[in-house]
Parts: sequence; structure tokens; C-alpha cells
Amino acid sequence: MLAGILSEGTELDENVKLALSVFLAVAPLDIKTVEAPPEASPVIIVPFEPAQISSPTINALGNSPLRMTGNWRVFRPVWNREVCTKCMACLARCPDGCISLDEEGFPCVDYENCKGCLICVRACPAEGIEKVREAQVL
Amino acid sequence: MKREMLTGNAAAAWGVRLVEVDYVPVYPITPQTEIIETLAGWISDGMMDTRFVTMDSEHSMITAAGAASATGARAFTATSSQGLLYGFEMIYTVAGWRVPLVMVNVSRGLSSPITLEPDHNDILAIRDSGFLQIHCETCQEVLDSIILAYRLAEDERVLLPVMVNMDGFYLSFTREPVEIPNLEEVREFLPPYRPKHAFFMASQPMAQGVAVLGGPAYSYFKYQMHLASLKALEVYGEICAEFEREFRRGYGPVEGYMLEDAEYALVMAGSFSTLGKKAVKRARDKGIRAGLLKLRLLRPFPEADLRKALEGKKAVAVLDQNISVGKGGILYSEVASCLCNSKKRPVLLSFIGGLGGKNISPHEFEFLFEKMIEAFEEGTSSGTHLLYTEKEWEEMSLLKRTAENEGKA
Ligand code: SF4
Ligand code: SF4
Repeated sequence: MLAGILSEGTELDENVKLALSVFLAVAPLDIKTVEAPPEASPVIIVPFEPAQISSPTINALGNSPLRMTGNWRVFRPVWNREVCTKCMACLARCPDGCISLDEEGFPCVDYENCKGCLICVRACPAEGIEKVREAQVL
Repeated sequence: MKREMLTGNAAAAWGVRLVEVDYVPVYPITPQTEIIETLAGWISDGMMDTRFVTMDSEHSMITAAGAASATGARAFTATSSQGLLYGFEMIYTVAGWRVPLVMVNVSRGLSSPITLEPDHNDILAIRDSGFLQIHCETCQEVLDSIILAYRLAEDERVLLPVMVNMDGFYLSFTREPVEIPNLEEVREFLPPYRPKHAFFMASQPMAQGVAVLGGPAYSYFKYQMHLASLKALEVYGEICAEFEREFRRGYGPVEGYMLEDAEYALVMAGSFSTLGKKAVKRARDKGIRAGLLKLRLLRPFPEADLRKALEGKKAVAVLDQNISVGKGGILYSEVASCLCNSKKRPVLLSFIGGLGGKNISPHEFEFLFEKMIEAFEEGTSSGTHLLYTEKEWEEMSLLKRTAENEGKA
């Protein structure tokens, strides 16, 4: 997968050039230190509080569906209905449960959450899923 | 109640069976595996209503056990040595969740070199994590400590996980007569766990997150763990008194043996204390006023009990079955820190013995008592002394020669 990204030589060079120009855009500056008055707050003795108050846990209704993680993707899987046999191998293998079936029984993906791991691409016995680059930086 | 000949591992399994755990995720490792094998047998025979899951590593195992604890289930798991280290990251994490998980560690020396026999570097590696630590000398103590551990961990004033420790081979595979309490009595002593701060209902799925915070909040949560651990000393006292009323067996945070009128006190932990007690008895026969203090609780550290028991002695020798490479005995430093401000501070000596399960012979104990008397007379002592005999040195020399010849061949 990484090889797929790195082999595109010009794109890599363009990226490095862009990053360097941003890094070098910051001109050296002199740093002046100023004495800040110390904060006057007395040292206390911290009292014991039971775990019901003092455990660092937050319990809340599950919110992972609200968290859109689709923007992590470098490549997106794209289904080819011409080849697909509706075997559901891709649906079974997706580690994120992003694939469901449409009314016709074809797999359809939730791109808001698909992370682009491309396990589905590997899983498809009919080679019916293609990987397509998400965005080009030029 | 019935009496049976049980190994330390079987005694641990009995303790777990009696507290009626809900969930046991496991991963095997010598010398602990007998515990989970015994539980697996009982569960498959329908004698325990418990969910048993084999995991892919100790890291997942401790995660699963801690997570189950966080949902309000009573969970148990066990490990040893390299396994504990493999799951080390989760030890700190689970402790921070403030959940009452109880684990057993069967002590075994750490690699390298690799060994199967015990010393306490594995369990002491998690000393600062927030897990409470109970160290056992006998198989009976193992069974009883597991029951005590759940009661202690689940107390609302504590809510920290507990590690019950026993020595591999010397205790794990040694059969001793053990009283197995009735289930009804245990149920009375240990009511079902009904958490208010961590729970799970199938009708209302919840996600538990742990806050990511800056310094003041982090300090607050960490220090509260420390205060809860100290609180556990007080709670432990109450629970033990109740346990003694119920089961006629008592376990203080420290145990004294011929200690009260002793002038020379030896401090030890774990099953090797039995050897120490024998040595104290022999020293007494020779007219030396010797005594022994066994540390049962290592976290929280029973400072006040220790100070009360050891102040005013002529000399105190700490016999560590562990080594902090580059410093010496770990417990020596801990004992020294609680006596250093005492006006009646005894002379303190540091010994290391029993590493990797090495035997400690009567001669080595005699040497130790002689050194204590010398140190008292001189008013000082320095350095750490490894207990090692001439015969062991000769055997080691033979091994080295053999290795050299092998190397040439
Ligand atoms: S790329 Fe990965 S996450 Fe996306 S649909 Fe395929 S298997 Fe699921
Ligand atoms: S694995 Fe391929 S053939 Fe099977 S359902 Fe998915 S896309 Fe269609």
C-alpha cells in the first residue's frame, strides 16, 4: 500500500517541497523573557475522596457512530456491480462494519466511516472492488 | 467446611470458586497454569457458573478482566513472571480505572537468564501501579487471601485492584492441608458486588472513556489512588477482624513471629518466611533473642505497624528475595524509609537471598544473625550482602569451566 504511494515520485517531491517551504517561512526571531509575578495560592492538604468521585472515567452513551472516521482514508474502495456475485465476503470481512446490503442485495459502503483499509478489496473473490485514490496533492 | 490436601494453585482455584466469579479470561504460563486448568475443569463440569475465555496474550487478558470489572462483573485472572510483564501496560491502566479486579501472581524470577523458580522481582515490578499486594506464605493463606482480596477491593472506600502473590513451586506445587470454607459462609462475608461508579446494563449500552487531562487533574486522580490505597489499610483491619470472627483465622498486614521480646528482627515476605521462622527458633535455642516480621501487605505498605513492631530493636535485617540492580534489596529501602526518622531506630542490615528460588540454608541464616549482632556492636552496617555458600560457588565454578570447555570444543 505504502509502495503505491511512494512510487508516485513527482507527487512525493511536490509534497516535500511544499512542507519545506512552510517550515522555512518562519523567520528566526529574538525571544525576550519577562518575569511573571508568582501566583499566590496557598499549598493545601488534598483530602481523600471516594472512587465514585475520584475515578477519572466518563460513562456516556456509545457515540462511535457519531464520530466520522472516513476522512482517514487514502484510498477508497469502489464496487463494480458488473462483476459482483453478492457473495457477501466483503461485508463479512470489513473490520469496521461499514458494509451493508442495498435493496437489490449488492454491498454498499458507509463512506463516512470506511477507513480505507482495503481488506474488502483483498477479500473479494471476484476482484470486484477497485481502490481509488481519494485526493491528489499537487 | 472440609479439609483437603491442596497445592497453592488448587487453593487459589478454590478461593476463586468460593467467591463465585462471573468472568475469567486466561492465558497459560508456568507455574500458574494449574489454577486456570482447575477452574476450566470445574466450569466445564458445571460446578461454577462462570464465563471462561482463553485469550491471545496476557495484555488482552488483563484488559478483558479489567473491562469486565468496569462493567460490574466479578472478574478474576492469574499470571506469573514474563506474563505479568507482558501485560504490564494494562496493570497501570486497570488500576487507574478504580475497578476491583483480583488477580493471582505466582512469582517466578524474570529473564534473563530464564528460570522457572521464584523470586519477587515480577510482583515488585508492579509495586507502584495502584494494585494492592497481599503476599502469602501458606496454601491456606492463598485461599483465604483471595476471599479477603475481593472484599477489600470492592469496598467503596478502596475500589482498587488486588494482586495476591504466592511463590512458584515452593507454594504453587506444594500440597498442604487446607480448610475449605462453606459457600454460605463466604457468601455472608462477601456480598454480591453492586458498583455505583462503574456498571453496565444491556438495555443501555454505555461507553467508558478515561479523561485525558493536564497536570492538576492528573495529580488529583493519581493522588486519590494513593489515598484510597492508604485507606485500604484501615479497611483491611476491619475486614480481617470480621474474617477472623467468621472463619477463625486471622491475618494482620504484618505477622510477628517471636517478635515482641526479640532484640534482633528479621524481615521477610512470602513462603521463604517459613525457613526464616525455623532459623529464628534455632537462634533462640542458642540464646540469641531473634524474631521475625513477615510482610503480608506490601501495598499499601503497613508503615505504622512496621514502625511499632521494629522500633527499639537492636538490629533489623531485611532479607529481600528480589534485587533492584544497581541499588540492592527493594524492601530494605522501604523498611529503612519508615524507620529513618524514628528516635529508637535500630541498626539496619540488607541481605538478598533466594533469588531464582535458591535455597537459604541454616548456615546462611546463622551468618545473618551473626552479622546483626556485629552491626549492633559496631553501631553501623553498610552495603547489601548476597547469601551464597562456598559450595554453591564451587558448583558455579564447575559450570563455568564446563561452559569454557564447551566453547573451545
Ligand atoms: S476499505 Fe476497509 S473499512 Fe472500508 S469498506 Fe473496505 S474493509 Fe471496510
Ligand atoms: S466480496 Fe466481491 S463479489 Fe462478494 S459481495 Fe463483496 S464485492 Fe460482491
